[in-house]
Amino acid sequence: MEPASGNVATQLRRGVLEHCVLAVLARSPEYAFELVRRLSEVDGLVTSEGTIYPLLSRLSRDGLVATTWQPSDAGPPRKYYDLTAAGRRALAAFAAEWTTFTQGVDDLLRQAGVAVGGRPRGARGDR
Amino acid sequence: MTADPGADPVELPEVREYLERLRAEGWHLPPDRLEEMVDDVRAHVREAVAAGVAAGDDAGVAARNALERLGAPAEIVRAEAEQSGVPTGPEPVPARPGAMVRYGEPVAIFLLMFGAFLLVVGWLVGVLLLWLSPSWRLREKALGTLVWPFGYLGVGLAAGLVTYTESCVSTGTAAGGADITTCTGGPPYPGWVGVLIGIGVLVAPVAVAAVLWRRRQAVLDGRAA
Repeated sequence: MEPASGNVATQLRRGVLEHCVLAVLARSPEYAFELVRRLSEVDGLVTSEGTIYPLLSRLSRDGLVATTWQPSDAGPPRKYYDLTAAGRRALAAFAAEWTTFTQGVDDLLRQAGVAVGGRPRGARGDR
Repeated sequence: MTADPGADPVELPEVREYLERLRAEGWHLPPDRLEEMVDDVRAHVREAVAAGVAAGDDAGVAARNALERLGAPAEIVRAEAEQSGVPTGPEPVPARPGAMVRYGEPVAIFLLMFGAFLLVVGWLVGVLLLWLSPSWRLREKALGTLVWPFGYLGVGLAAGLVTYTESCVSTGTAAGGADITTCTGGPPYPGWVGVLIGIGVLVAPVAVAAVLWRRRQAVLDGRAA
């Protein structure tokens, strides 16, 4: 991987990861391991799964998510994370920002003649 | 290595080592945050290994995969420091743990044992270094201070007091002109008890030094990783 693109991915991840957590939890409450698995399905979103826990803890302190312990069939009780009303508002605000922001960036990239919505020409791909 | 699938995966050596490193890396975090983080990671490993075993993996392999995906303990601690606003990076708190850990701590251990022979002040310097150390927790600091005050000089003085509580008085003169002395007192327990206490008192500083050294090594190993 090129160092520059790696750095861009890190910067982007830093900015959006917490809202992706909120987005996953908006569908249903999850315990952390399942939440991490869902996030990991998005390519490049989670590089070190362990770093999710400090993020979850901060979201909880900020009142955007709430935790409850629920019994598990498989072992000890699981800590479930759920969105709070404040979390839903934060997610809605982010979604609006995100749409405007990505549309603006896409427009700039199109004007620059760079393909948007796929791999740029000449990138090392699978095909 | 093949692990017992029924055993708690967090008891696997590699997982224990990982959690130990996580604790060591997070020494500067608030204790409750560190504990929550360790609990979260422990629960994660249990879930990941259960999922891996259910998919047909050996528990040891599943545990190693889980640890790899979790990332380096230092990375998790860095994320925690970022999220909770704890200062981190090249200048953690306290300011220069590197020099303190590398030089201050071995000197502290030596001075606690023998520093009192250096005009007594040596031991006090040892105690100061002990309490300034970032590696040792309250329990190790208390242990190092209390066993024994003034180290081996203290042991020697105490032994002197116990041994010389006997008092001897001259009670007369024998026919040949020699003094007759009568001695009273001495320790209120049989000799073998004294020997056992003596051995215990002598060995204790070495044991405390070993405890301090082991804790220091654990912290160092974690930091080095």
